[in-house]
Amino acid sequence: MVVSDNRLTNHTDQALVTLHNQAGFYNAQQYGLLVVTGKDAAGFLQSQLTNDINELKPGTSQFSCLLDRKAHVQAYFHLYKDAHPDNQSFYILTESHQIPSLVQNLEQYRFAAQVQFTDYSADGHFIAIQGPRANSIFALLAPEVYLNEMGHHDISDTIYSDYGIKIFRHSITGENGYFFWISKKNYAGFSKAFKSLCADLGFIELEDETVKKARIEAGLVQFGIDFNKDNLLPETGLIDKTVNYKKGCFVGQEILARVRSHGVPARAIIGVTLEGKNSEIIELPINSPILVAGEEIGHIKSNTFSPTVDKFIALTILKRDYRVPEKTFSAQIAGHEVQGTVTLPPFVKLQSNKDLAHKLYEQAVQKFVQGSEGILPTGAINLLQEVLILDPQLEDAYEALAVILSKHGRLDGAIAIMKVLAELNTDSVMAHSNLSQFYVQQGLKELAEEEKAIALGIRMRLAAAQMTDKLAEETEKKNAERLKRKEMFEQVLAIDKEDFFANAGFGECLVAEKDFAKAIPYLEKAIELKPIHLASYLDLAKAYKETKHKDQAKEILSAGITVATKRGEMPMLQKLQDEAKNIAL
Amino acid sequence: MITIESYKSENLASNGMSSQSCQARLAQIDPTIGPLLLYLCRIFEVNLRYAIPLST
Repeated sequence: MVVSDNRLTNHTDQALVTLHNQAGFYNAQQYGLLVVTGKDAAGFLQSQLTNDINELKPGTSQFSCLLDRKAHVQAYFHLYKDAHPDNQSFYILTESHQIPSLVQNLEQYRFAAQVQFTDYSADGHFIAIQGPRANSIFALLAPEVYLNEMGHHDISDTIYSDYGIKIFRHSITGENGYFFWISKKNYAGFSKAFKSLCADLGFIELEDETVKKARIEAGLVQFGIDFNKDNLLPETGLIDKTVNYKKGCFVGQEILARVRSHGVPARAIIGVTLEGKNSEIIELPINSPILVAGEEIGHIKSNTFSPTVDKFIALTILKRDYRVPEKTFSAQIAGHEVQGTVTLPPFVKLQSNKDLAHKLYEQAVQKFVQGSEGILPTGAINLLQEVLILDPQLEDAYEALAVILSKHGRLDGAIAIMKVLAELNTDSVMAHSNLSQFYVQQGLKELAEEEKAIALGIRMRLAAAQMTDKLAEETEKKNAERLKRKEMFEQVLAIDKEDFFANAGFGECLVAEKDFAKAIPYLEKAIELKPIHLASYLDLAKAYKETKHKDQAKEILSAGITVATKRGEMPMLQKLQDEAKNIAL
Repeated sequence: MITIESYKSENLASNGMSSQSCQARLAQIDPTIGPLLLYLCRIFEVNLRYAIPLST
């Protein structure tokens, strides 16, 4: 989704546009870090949490919840497994206010298990980056970290300007997002350097209000605001994200399974767009009752005006009967008369990485074209690298990158890029053609010829396949047309058996369908009605030949040749004579 | 000037390389895109040896 700026009203709205189109950084100081260590950590967490810890590979993450015995949510968080295979540590990233009670609840069930919980919230801070182009921070911060670790991991460590940082993939806006954990003593220094890098990339600082708007637009629920310890997990809409029903026992599992077997919960979180009937809605107090004709149908949760969709949007907890997408209702909320429309979150469809990659590819090509001769276009190269990280299947980006490198004499890099592409797509003519050109530039004529031959071979194979497809398509089209004509002739014959066109046409269709015996009487009739119709002579001869009436075939061809000769119809005469020769053989 | 023989012997040499040596070599091919090459090879499980061109 690309957001235009024609309806922006204030600074927050402008920041939201930048967030949706670029990225922004955010002092995520309300978030904390809990580390779970000990030789029994995995087994213990598996017995307590809703998601399947055993599915976590080193460096990956999952969302999870801790429930009470009655399946009420006690905590909701993002759980990471340390990237090092020998390290059995787990990291929990969540709002700081959840951590003390989470630890208390976990400790309550820990008896002999060797597990330690360490709350690092007081020792450091998080600074976050959110937005579709969040990845590009790594090009300046630590390219090798992203490409070696974060490209396929959710957690990593790195050092930037002597500051040790831990990176977590985590979105609080629905966009691409990362959280950087830094110790308190290094925070000021790192934060300054980090903000400077962000400024170089055109990323802005995000305020709480902007992040809140983006979160609600994305339909992301927050513990303590949209739900709390009184809510059953199925009421939160987090089941798919946090529960593995097959993992075995965990606290609250029995009740959860029971609620599941009963179908949908009586109340649950869903989106609603609201329109004020008499007054503009600014912001509604959280937990305001939603009254429809005096009946309380639910409560308002996170809510805001979304400049992106130009509507007032709210996450609400609604009764079952009202949770029907597009259902509308007139209600009274906190003194406002409103019209509500039930909407499945997210409220805003965000730009996919693929779409963004295409957009950036165009920009990179533009940058390259506009660049000065002889100077390596690092801007275009960086953009193309970002493109390939966002969409590693975009072949044009491989080519553009290789061509740029080759034009600046960096042929080994160009060749390596094309070799990777040739491996990914064995039918890539582009990869082998470029390789051929690059080898020529390196003076490797033999290899260049080899690559050229491979490219040619692929091209021919693809052309042949295309031709086969085309032929099949044409045959199918012809068959369909013939069927249509045959039906038409059949209808005419039902009315008039003496119609010449219908007899000739129907006979021709039957011959094409190889129904030779059936075709004979119609073609004989056609010739009887119009003795100069040479195509019918030819079709009838074929029908006689295929039904083993060779003499009759010869006879009719001879008659046809006589007619064709008399009329001087040379092309048809040639065809009749050729057919006569075939039969004689 | 690189010859076809030197290319082939280079290729043979890279065929015998350990994965770690290959990675190190690939990263050095071009300082700008070395890490990207490693990344692409890793996510697509492309044989690193295949991606290594001869050194100049």
